[in-house]
Amino acid sequence: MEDSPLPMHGQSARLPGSARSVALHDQLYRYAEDLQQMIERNGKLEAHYEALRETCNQLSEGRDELDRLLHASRDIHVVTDPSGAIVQANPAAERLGPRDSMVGLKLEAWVQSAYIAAFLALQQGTATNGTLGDRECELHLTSGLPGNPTMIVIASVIGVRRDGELHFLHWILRDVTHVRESEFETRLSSMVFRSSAEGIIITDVEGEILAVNPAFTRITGYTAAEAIGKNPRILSSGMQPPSFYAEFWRALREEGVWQGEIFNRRKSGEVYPEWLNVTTVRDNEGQILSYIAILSDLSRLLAAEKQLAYLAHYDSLTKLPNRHLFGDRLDRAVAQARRTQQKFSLLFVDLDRFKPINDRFGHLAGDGVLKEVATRLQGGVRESDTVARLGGDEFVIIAPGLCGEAEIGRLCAKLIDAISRPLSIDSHELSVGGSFGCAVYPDHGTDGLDLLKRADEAMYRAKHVGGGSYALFGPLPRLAT
Amino acid sequence: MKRILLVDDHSDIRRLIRITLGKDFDVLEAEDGPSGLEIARRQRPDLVVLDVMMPGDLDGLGVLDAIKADRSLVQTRVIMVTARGQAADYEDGMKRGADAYFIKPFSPLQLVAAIKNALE
Repeated sequence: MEDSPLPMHGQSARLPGSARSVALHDQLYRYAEDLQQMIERNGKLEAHYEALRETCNQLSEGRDELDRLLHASRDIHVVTDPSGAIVQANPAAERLGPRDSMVGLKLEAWVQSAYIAAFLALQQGTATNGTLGDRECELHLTSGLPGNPTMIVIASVIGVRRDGELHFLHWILRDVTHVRESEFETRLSSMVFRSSAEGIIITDVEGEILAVNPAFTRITGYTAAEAIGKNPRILSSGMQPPSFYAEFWRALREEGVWQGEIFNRRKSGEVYPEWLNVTTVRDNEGQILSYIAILSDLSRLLAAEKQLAYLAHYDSLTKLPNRHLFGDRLDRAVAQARRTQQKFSLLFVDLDRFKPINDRFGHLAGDGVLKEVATRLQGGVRESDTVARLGGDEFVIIAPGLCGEAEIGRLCAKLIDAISRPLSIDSHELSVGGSFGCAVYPDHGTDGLDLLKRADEAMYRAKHVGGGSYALFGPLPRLAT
Repeated sequence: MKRILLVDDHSDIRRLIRITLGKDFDVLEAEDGPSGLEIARRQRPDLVVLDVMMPGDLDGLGVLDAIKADRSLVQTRVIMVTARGQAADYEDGMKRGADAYFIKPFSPLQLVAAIKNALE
């Protein structure tokens, strides 16, 4: 029955056995073709799979490497959710606090109040806009280190997106606390360098000038541009012996410092005394980085000393030598006279009628009188004579070579005359007189003080007469007008 | 697991298809239209692979019509397989509600793809 060759009733009929075989074979061949396709496809899939696995491995290794980098990084990396709650942090974040207790807390909690606005702005800006961490700002955080010191960081944040949606915020915080501190220190040092009244030279290890401050220019006359690149030798006055330099470098090399007084030369050529202080600067490894020289211009100090000396020896009102200097001069006059066998005279001058002027017209008027008298006395003596003010209205004159009654008399008369001429002080017409007492070396004494005493005595005799006269010391009172 | 009914008078073909479908489906078989329809009504398969040319009163198209007319079976997916390769038959089958139409010898890859597609 299965092999019936004719279809029945015109409807679809069972295929004859051979036809069924053919149909089966055809179908099987079709299967073989599809299988071949599958085999090819499989081969490609396997190659594809291998490639994917390889890529996957590389990605995995790359990811592991990134993780290791973040783990080892000294920058703080913190990942938060879009609201700012911490999800994870790298070991560097321990500086903020224990990482375990950080999860869930808002990163904002570490930001100091003055910087929260900037922090939020950065967070918001990245959340809504950028994926690139190209924006950054400086924040002050409260660290978790002992004492909770402030940590200054440069913060940037990257938005991590998947399928366009923000999943995480990745914060990178770079600790710049030390940078800011040393910037501050540098600014301070710079201010000190610039404003110091002493000159400062900084050289490299070879001695070549790297920098100088404004005071250096004031002292030496060389501008920074002229000094930089040169050796401090340019300041050399040539007055230091060669052995000086040997000792200088020895001390510098072995002890690291040297200080002392030297003579340097300004750009103008002027030689001046200088107090020099040189120190060696070494780096962390102990290698010499540079030398720092600090110069103090001693000439001003010496000038001040001179000024002081002057003030100590001269009467500030009349500008005449005061009693101290007079003492010196008297000693010298005695020594000189002894040596040269020459005589000299000592004239003690006391003004007449001076006190009433002070009482009536005041001290300023009195001062004016004294100044004028001093000028007149000086005007009447020779260059080799010394006119000094002993104090009050007392003056004394040392006249080397002057001896003999007649000469002394002539000088005294001249000076008495000069003093008694009217004085115009503050539109007042005033007049004073002078009483002169004279003593001669060696006739009246060989000791300065003795001579002075005798001249003083002589002066009193002249005063007794009524003033406006002179008297010579002598065993017999000799009076003359 | 979805249930598939194979209706084909050629037992070897049925066996090939059964092997091809593997263990992913619950496979039923019928060797003619009437028994196919009966099994369909009883077992309610998700999909029927229907040979068009079968001997007897009910050929594949008849079964198709019957399925589509039966409210309980109308949702059943139907894939027609036939040796006849004329465009008219194809259009006819599709018009009558078949989900796909294959000409023998069919590509097993394509058949499996069509089955999966129809069952989604």
